[in-house]
Amino acid sequence: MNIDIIINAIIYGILIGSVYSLVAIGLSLIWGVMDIVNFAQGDYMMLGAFITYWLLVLLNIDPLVSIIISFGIIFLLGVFTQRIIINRILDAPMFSQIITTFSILMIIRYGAEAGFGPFTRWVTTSYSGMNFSIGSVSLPLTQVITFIISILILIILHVFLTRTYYGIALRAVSQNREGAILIGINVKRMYELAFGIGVGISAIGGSLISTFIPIYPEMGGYYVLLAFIAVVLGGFGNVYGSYISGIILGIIQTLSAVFILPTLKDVVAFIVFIILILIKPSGLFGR
Amino acid sequence: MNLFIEKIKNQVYKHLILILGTILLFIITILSWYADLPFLANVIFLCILYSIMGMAWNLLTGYGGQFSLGHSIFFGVGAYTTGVLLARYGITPWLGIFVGAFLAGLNGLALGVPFFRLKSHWFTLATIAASTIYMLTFTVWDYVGGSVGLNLPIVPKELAFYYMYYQGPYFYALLALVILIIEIIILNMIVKSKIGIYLTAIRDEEEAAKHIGINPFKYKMIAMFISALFTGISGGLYAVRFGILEPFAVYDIITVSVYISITGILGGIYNFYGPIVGAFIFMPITEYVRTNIVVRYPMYYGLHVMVVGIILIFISLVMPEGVLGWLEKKGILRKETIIAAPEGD
Amino acid sequence: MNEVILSVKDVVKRFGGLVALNRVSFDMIKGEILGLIGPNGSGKTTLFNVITGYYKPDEGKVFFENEEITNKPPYEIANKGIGRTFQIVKPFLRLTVLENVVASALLKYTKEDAISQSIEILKLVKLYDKRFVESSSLNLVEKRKLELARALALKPKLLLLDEVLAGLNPTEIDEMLILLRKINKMGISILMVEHVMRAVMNISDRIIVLHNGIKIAEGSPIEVANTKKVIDVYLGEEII
Repeated sequence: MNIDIIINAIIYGILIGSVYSLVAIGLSLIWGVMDIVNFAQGDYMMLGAFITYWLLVLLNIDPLVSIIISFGIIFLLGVFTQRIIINRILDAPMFSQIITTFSILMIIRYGAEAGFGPFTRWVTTSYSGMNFSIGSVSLPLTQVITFIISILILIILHVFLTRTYYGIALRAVSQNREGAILIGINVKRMYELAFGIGVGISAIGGSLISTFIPIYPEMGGYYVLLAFIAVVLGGFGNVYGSYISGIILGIIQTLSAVFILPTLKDVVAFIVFIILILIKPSGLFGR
Repeated sequence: MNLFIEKIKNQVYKHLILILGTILLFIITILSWYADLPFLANVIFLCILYSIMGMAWNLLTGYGGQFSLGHSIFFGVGAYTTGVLLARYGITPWLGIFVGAFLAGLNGLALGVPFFRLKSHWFTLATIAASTIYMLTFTVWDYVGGSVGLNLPIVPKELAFYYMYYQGPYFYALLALVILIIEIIILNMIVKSKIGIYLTAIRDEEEAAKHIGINPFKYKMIAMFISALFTGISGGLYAVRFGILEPFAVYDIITVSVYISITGILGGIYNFYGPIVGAFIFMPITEYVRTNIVVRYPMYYGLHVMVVGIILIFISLVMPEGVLGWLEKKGILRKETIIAAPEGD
Repeated sequence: MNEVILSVKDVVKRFGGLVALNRVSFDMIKGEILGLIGPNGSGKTTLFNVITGYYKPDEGKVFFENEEITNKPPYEIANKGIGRTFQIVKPFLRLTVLENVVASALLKYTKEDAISQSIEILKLVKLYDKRFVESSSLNLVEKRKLELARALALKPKLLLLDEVLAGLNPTEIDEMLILLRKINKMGISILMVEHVMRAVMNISDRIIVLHNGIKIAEGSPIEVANTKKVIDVYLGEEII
């Protein structure tokens, strides 16, 4: 086993992991602030991917520019979802909440499939095939850009959460809902904000991943499961932990593909997931 | 002798709707066979199939309090066992289905050991992860056909009975109906027995249940085994009816596991017949959309599932207790209890 | 007869850095009513939880009828004859009153007998009229009586009552005390945690006082009421 192969795998793991991180951050944010497990998280990601696709194909807008529009649209959709649906099941029994997010999942995923057709699509740009060379290593440009943007998103989110009123208010609500109400925070608005941002970031992940992976309406199912693993690994509610765990997950995947079987790389991830749930559901970084 | 007849009369009256419903279904299926209406019979078949799985699932969820979204595991094990035994070893499904059911039950026990210590949504997440592992594993497992899947053999008419190979859904619908009736009888006995009462106690207050002498793990395992058993039988029925097994279809989270849970949630998970009501409501709707729109216009593929999602949202927001639960709430139906109050009390 | 029914020996229970029970020891005589009092946080409920097997003690042993039950799970201990009620009532909410008690009676009886046994117990605690009512719709004192009935259906030899009088008005308290005396006369030993002083001093044969996880007094109600340490701990509170 060549050390080069291993390093290669790790780097690719980091690159793909950064997308998992974005979906995971959103999931973690929603989970932490609202105590809602959003099973439809991957489908908002899919919508982001398709927005990028249609913007490119119909209006010739560059994917990297489209991520802002993607975020905007899905953010609003998230706020809408929260107001119309999620808000009503916040105090419902657990299985009711789970089923509700599954029904949102079904409407988005299969609505998109019926609307766009069950076809696989590619987002191709002038730079789709280009490589980014650093030293002796040559990496796909799109994936490198994805990784860089994901870090930017994390930084922006960090600034938002620590230095803006709304961000701090969000953290207050996630830590102590009653206390937040007492100091005058509009909790309902915070929920809308959390859900909107949560699914919006996921959509950015979708937009980014579309530049290097073919997209199809049912793709969300796969990524939400990976996001779950990352969130549990990183500690639900802990946004930074989720980001790092997404990267770690990517690395676990690529290394599994190298050392075991490429077809079994996901099985390893899910077994890790189950072990985590059994041993320490609060994750590596706790909450 | 008179007392015996009285008792029978009593049972018949109590279960009048059930008996009438069964006879009705039986007649409709036979009629559709003669009239050559495969769509109708197929819908009936699917309704009954999901009823069987929904009732089985609800033993664990509605009565046991463990919300599983991994029942596709038992469906798949049952289906593949039946299929492999038939395709590879020529063993009749009349035996294979029950072997598959038993194996499904064992899988359930194996999963119960680590998972039953998990609470609420962690349990659910674990079942989802586990079913995904099963799907991925079966995709790369050549013995069961891998990602290409397993095809059951086509056989000449003389061997139809042995291979359970019949044209159309008619035979399978009738067989499924018989199995559903048997399942209802068995589950009814269980639910009214010590096991049933213990399960509801565990569901409502597991800690208090421990202090009245109940070992929660033991009873959850019993519920899991029976639940997996009947779900496995359904898998076997599916295998012989459709003749093609693919891991992506058989272990699908949405169209198997979530659909099964929908039967219960739509009908009412705290009602014994809830899953049957739920199955007979949403299955015809989704099948109608699938065969009338999606099959004709394949680019609208997915519409039939989206429709289910819409029904589900409606239920979540308006009728979270399910149809039967809602009827109870409105006083139209009497509240369901294990030890029934005498009439007029 | 001075047969010892319950023996707690040097039990220690820690939660992280906090020592909830610090070498607590006492013997309980068969047939007596033993009161367990102490300020909030003194470890009373923790002690119950250790006895009933809900917690494992870090050190020490618990004996019931001379058999060690220290690390046994709660359902085994219930089987051996110890029943308990909870500070925050835990009825099986979706079950009727009768079903709640039957669930318990099933430990020792078949379903038919369990039902008739449960009816008798419900008559005893005066909940018979509500037997087909869903237990979630009961008021507090009814839920307390239901907990009691459920514990009695186990046919226990020892009953652990955790603040069974909390939140009741004086009439309800008197009613409950009459019921408890009746149960005790049936031969059931009672260990009760209580904050309602006049009641527990009134009904108990002996009293144990816990403070910060340590037993600071043991004896008859009069003795305990006059122990300086106890008076200090309850400074300002009327004991009798």
